[in-house]
Amino acid sequence: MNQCKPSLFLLGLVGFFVLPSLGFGQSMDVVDRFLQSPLATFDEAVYIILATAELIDTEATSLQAIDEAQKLFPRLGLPADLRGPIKVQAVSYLLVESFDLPKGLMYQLFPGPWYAVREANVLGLYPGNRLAAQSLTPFDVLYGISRAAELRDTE
Amino acid sequence: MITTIQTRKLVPLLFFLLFLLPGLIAQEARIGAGFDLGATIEQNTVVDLSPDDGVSATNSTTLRLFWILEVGDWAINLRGSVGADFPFYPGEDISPLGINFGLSTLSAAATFGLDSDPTFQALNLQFGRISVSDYLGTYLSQAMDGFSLGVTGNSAELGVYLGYTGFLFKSETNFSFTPSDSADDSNDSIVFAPPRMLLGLSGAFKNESQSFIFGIDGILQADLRQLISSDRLIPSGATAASGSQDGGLYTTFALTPTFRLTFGPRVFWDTQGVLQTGTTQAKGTTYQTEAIVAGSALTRLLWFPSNAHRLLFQVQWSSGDGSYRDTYEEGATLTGAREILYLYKAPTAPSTGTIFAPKPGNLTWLTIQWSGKPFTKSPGAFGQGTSMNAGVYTFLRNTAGPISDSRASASVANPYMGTEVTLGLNVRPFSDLGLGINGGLYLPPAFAGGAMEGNAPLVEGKISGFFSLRM
Repeated sequence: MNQCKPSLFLLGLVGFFVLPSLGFGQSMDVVDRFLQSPLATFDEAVYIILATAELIDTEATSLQAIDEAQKLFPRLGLPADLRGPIKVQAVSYLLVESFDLPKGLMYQLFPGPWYAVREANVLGLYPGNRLAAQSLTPFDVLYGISRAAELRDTE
Repeated sequence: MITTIQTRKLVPLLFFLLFLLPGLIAQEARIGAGFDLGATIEQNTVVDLSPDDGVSATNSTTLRLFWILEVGDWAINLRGSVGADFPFYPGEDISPLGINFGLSTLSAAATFGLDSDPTFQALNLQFGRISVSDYLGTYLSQAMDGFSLGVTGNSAELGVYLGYTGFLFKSETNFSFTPSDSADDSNDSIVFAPPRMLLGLSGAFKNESQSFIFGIDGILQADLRQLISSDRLIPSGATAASGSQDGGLYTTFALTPTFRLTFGPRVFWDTQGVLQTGTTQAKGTTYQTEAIVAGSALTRLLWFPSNAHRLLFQVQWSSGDGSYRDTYEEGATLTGAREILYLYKAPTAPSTGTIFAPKPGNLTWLTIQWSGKPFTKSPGAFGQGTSMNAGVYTFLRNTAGPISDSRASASVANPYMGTEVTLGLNVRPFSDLGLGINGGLYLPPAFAGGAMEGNAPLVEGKISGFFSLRM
């Protein structure tokens, strides 16, 4: 019974912060596919983060979202397999930049995915501390988006 | 020369192989591995103000390194430090006191799910240089080389640990109980801590809402000095030599029952008792083994009036043994009749005060602390990252016997040992940069009949500033 509580909490957060930004149609299909995978995939995670941050139109495709992310955030490295798992440093970098979250001194001196992970952990973007190069579940990514949106709205 | 060149090449190679290569593999591998590597630089300056000693200052610079690798269920942690102290006295040259090395963690840890067990959900295993503590961390909070094994569930947690402290650096322990420990502590050629074994059994039991928690630890601290070297041990029954730096063994076992009651999300009430038994040695006409029966009790109320403020009220008592001994150290000369309770000494001394900081033992101290973020309504990083703290600490000696501060007068029965007030301001303009200034005043019992020696100052002060950057 207790195992269900975090998931229900997450669904509440997702419902409150993520879904209103995404709207319906194309974006809901992406979210559906995203949630069915055991690990969060790169292309869909980039799409959902940028769409929630209102940096791309919700009618854009995942590949268009990746193109836009590369233009906006040039330090985002692309994995060999765009449909493969996304790593903590990429999600952290996208969240910190897309939602314009507070940044540490080292991040301001050396902006990029490495120090974005530190900022994400300080800001509590994940349920528990995460390390660079780790993979994330779809719920971890949605939790991060919800938390980032909450922090942006309270700034 | 050849050795120097080889060492210069070898160190970067070893650094690469041990620390960077696993991380690079983790970055590229598709096995869900995680990696972090970094350092924190800390700069601390403390200025002591004393009417007797004048102004003196100590500047310390410490670099703390950390390295973490997580692969699957396993996490490997390395945390070490290197630092230097620079004491300063007016009119004297500044010279470094020495370089301090530390290795607080070098461990492998894993958590395994216990899906089939209805009571416990996870099994935690940790070995290497790990940290252990009792439920509140007020009796023992210590690094050691060994292992810990525990199971955790919704209503109970059980654990066991076993370790050795003799490979820690001296500065990383507080095991200075016997004259042999003290002699090691003041001997610069000895770098390692006193050889002690720590064995602990722990349990914590909660109700469904977790508003009531009962924790209990059984902790054995065994002196292994006779296994390492018997050169500086005085056997029981031997004639005690005056001024000798040799000593006996100090072994203790403690039970620490602890209750935590939670009243809503903002009020926590902890009560802990410690019953300590064991053996030590003391000087009579001959050196003799003594049985220890000592105790400590603590109650504290932690209240969060709002998300930005925290208040702590605490009283802690620890037993003393009156006129039975002449000094705080074990191996003291016996001077009076044996009392029921012995002088209490915890393996890890919690902080009592900032300026007047006696170790627990023959002491009752009352603490009122406030910390908070009073500027949260101010915009930007200043409002969110600025915190303040204030505290009042009052010290009472339980018996006329010694406490760890040798300035306490043995000839005066007055229990009042003075009051300390502290105030601090900490600013965190960035998540990885912290600055702070903290100050305090200690007001010893100045009135006639006070419990301090006659030459004790009327007031002592301390101001410290720190800077910390995580890279």
